[in-house]
Amino acid sequence: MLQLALILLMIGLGLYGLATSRHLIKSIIFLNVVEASVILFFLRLFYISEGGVPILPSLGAEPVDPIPQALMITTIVIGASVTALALMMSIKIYHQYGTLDWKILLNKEDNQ
Amino acid sequence: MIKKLVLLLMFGFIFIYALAATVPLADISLETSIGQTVIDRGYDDTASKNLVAAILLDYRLFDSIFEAGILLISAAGVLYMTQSSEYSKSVPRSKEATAPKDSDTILAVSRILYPFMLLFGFYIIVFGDLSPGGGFQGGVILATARLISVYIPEKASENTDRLNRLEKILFLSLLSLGLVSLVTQGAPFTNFLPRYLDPEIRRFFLVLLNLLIGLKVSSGLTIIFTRFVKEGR
Repeated sequence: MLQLALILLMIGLGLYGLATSRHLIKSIIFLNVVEASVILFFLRLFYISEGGVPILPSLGAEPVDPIPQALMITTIVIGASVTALALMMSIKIYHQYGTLDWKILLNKEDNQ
Repeated sequence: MIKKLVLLLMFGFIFIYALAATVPLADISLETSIGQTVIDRGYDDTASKNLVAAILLDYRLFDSIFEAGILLISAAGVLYMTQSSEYSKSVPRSKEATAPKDSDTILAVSRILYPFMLLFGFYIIVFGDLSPGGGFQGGVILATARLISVYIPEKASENTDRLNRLEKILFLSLLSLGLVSLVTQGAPFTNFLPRYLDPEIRRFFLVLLNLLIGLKVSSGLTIIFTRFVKEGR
């Protein structure tokens, strides 16, 4: 229960960082924080103490639920894709505007 | 300051609400979950001993194929964004930001490590339905092996356009391999070999699928890696 609360707190921290950070790279980092804590949340929810790996034969131990693990592989792959694209975009934005500050970037957008 | 306070209050509210919603989930049990069905019937249905791979490569093959498609889109996006070599004026590119001086140790170690990493990647891919691993994980290892080969100067740099074409072809072959079962089994995105065959033979489909996914993921990630390295230099 305490672990779930801590993981939820981590998601909240990530969202707070996404909302308040002024640097583009920091935004990407907080996006990854949210993603990692969502993965942790799912895996913790279906965790059985002393459960076995979901690979047959399970050698006596009761295997854990394989479904959240399969779902989380999808999340990890998509997270990696999104991060790669976002980082490349931030490189391009830096080359174009010379800054990665959200406020300055938004001002430049307004002036055009 | 007020804004941050309001934000904090908002996230605090969300946190308490989410916590209240999670309390009944905390003692979720496997017996009522669909996972128990997968554990009981997974091997007979899919011939895969790794039940996570059973879900990824048979029950939810549809999702996995389009998950691979998202990686293809991301690699194509990175390729598209780095296509033009013209840079805008505001940031002058440092003139001597050339390749960092390679140390002999890194060179020697990467030369030794490279074939072993390739071997390990292919091991993870081919045995994906028997042990932890699979196409996605093995593909990442293959791509990091290719990244290490950046340090080996004799090796010509990757032709990313060709790799992108290869990735598209692999994605299409993945899709068509998933659709073969529509002809033989009457349902798309499942094993095309009939159920009465021995699991050791039906495994062939899983190995083939894992290989295709692994090669696709490795080519996609290699595109991303090499483009980032080029962009950084």
